[in-house]
Amino acid sequence: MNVQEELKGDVLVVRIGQKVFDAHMAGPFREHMAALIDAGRRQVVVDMTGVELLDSTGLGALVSARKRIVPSGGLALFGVGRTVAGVLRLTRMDQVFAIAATEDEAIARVSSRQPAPSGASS
Amino acid sequence: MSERKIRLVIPSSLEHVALAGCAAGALARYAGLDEKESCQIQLCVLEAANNCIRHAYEGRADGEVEILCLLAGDSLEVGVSDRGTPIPGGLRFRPLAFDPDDVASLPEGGMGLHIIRNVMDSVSYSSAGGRNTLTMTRRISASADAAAKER
Repeated sequence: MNVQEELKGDVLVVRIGQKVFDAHMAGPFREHMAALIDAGRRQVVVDMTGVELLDSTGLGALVSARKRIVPSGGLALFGVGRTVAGVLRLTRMDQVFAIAATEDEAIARVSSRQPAPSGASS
Repeated sequence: MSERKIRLVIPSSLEHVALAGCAAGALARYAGLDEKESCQIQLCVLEAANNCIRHAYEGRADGEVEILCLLAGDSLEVGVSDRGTPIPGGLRFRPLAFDPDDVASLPEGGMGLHIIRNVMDSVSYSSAGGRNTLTMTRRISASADAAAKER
């Protein structure tokens, strides 16, 4: 796994940087995100730029992070290409993730997020 | 169009699955499917091969996964086989049921077959002689088929 990270204020930007986000990458990514969130990162945006294929295990790893960061944090995606958007639509996960057009918009969305009651979505 | 086929074999290790997916996607493009459709075929091969490795072989890397792509008539048929443990009770499609507003209900797995069923025109599963095969078929449109014939 070769994800890059950049801290912008309180928001952690995680850049996937792989063409294929598949089962080979999903396990390490899931564990890495869990460690970051458990260490206190509550506002995270994931840069999907360049990801041409997202399989269900990669998607599951993103869902895992989404579940872990709620209720006190927020997670948004940006740089979502056409094929990845198709997978999100097919699985209805486009209704689960905040999907922003740009990095700045994604950061704004998690930055403006207020803590929500348990079980509520961001 | 005469029947044409190619057989790919990868070790039962997740690091090899992407290669098989790329090959199947390229074949789908050759067959006349567009870029989006070819990516869908690639994705389905990934999902099927992942299932072989994670479930049939339970993560063991000493097995093989075979991907047999068959171009015949107006369809692309992809069979993904393993020699591990069969799916108990055979193939069962479950609806992807969750409430997007209820975080606890969000699934972290079990989405692969849902994707396959929604992308492919037909899906079947067989287990015989120690070999388990998921067969997925995607119809190629008439115009795409004509383009493939010219190649």
